[in-house]
Amino acid sequence: MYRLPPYLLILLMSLVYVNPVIADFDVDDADSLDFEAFHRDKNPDKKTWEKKSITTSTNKAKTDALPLSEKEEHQSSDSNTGREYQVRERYSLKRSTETPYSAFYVIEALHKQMASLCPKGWEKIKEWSKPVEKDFYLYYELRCL
Amino acid sequence: MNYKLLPAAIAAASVMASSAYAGDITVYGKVNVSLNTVDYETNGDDQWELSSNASRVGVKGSIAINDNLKAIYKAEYQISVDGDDDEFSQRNIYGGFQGNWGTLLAGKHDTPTKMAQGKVDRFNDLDNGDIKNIFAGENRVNNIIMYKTPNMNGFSVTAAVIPDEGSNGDDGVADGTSIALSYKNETFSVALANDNDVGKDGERADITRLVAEIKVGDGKIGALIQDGESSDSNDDIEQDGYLISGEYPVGSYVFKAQYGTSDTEELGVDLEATQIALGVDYKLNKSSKLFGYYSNIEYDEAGAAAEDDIVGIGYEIKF
Repeated sequence: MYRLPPYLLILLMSLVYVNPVIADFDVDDADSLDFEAFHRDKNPDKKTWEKKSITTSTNKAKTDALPLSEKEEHQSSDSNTGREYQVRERYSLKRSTETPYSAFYVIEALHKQMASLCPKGWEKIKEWSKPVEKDFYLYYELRCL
Repeated sequence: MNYKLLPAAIAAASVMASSAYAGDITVYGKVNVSLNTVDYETNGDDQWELSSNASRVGVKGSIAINDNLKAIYKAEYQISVDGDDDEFSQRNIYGGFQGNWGTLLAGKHDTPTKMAQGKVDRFNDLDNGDIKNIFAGENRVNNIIMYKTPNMNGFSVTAAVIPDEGSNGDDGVADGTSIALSYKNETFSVALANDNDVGKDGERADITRLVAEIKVGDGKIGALIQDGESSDSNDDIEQDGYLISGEYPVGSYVFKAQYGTSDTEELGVDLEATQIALGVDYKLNKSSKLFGYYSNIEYDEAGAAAEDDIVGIGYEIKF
């Protein structure tokens, strides 16, 4: 039987890996009684909020960002037109013990979040960054088309 | 199918699947390589060695079936980074389902008793450091069907049955069983596990293992107590033992220590194994570290003693 050359094997593996996927897990978790968590997204720095209108006691409407649960994220559908969200990811500009990801890398991750929230597309309302310890959070605020 | 082609086939399938709908697919793994100087009196080795330390690569993923059910899969292979062994050897590989009712999987996997060790083994996968050098019960078995309950206020149960498929005349679905009851909160975890007739042919054992770990300040202290015997009473083998370990972070460093001992009695002959291990990790970032360790295991069999020593430095990269 034809044996695949090692270099071709590495190439095939790398083709998968270059499809940007952030490792939101610890590979060693799979060897513990928490093995089932290996199939859950566990990135604590990845957050999503939906901006909703809130009526205050003075009847003056304002918007506020409310956290969106993971279940709600997965239920996002075509009916999201007009909804506004904030999403964030953590990145570092130098060596960090908290995140291995660069600003460039988390842009890809944010786009994946936004595509999930707004299947019909989105427009970016705002983009900003806030320091956290030695790292940064990159935020996008978006509205679904 | 050529065994060595299997990982490539999985990778190729993943590439193709990524262009169509196939749920989440992730390639993951870790490379852990160390340069060790060994002095093993038990086999006469006295040399420098490069070790792969259970480096691995795997593919995992899930496919949503409905809101409360998804199919899950994982194919993980140990890789020989240093080239001493086969490029790939099978680790945990399974298919299954996951939902709010728990997780069910079938394939080849570590038993609940093995997984109960958690992170108490501070030198897991390292030559002469892993607790498998002194304790039985570190089994990854074929033909395992395993279920884990959802988390119930910190409690969960993991239960597995292992059909023997005719070996030793056993033809049932639960010829071997492995069960673990565990509790975990932010500062404390404990697991009680039991194996019944689990292990390779000729080495099957009934084992009870109790493991606990507690956070003390920034550090962690863990303990493992175990008692077991061969499943076949004709073998007349018994083993008991315990292990204490701890780690403490100082900046980017994590200092680790471990002491364990087991007493095995086989046909009236005593074998005592005692391990002392010390080590330090230096975290480069969230997914990589440098490390160094020393481990000594002293074996004493019927008054004849032999010591295995190892000193190693290495690095680990997770991806």
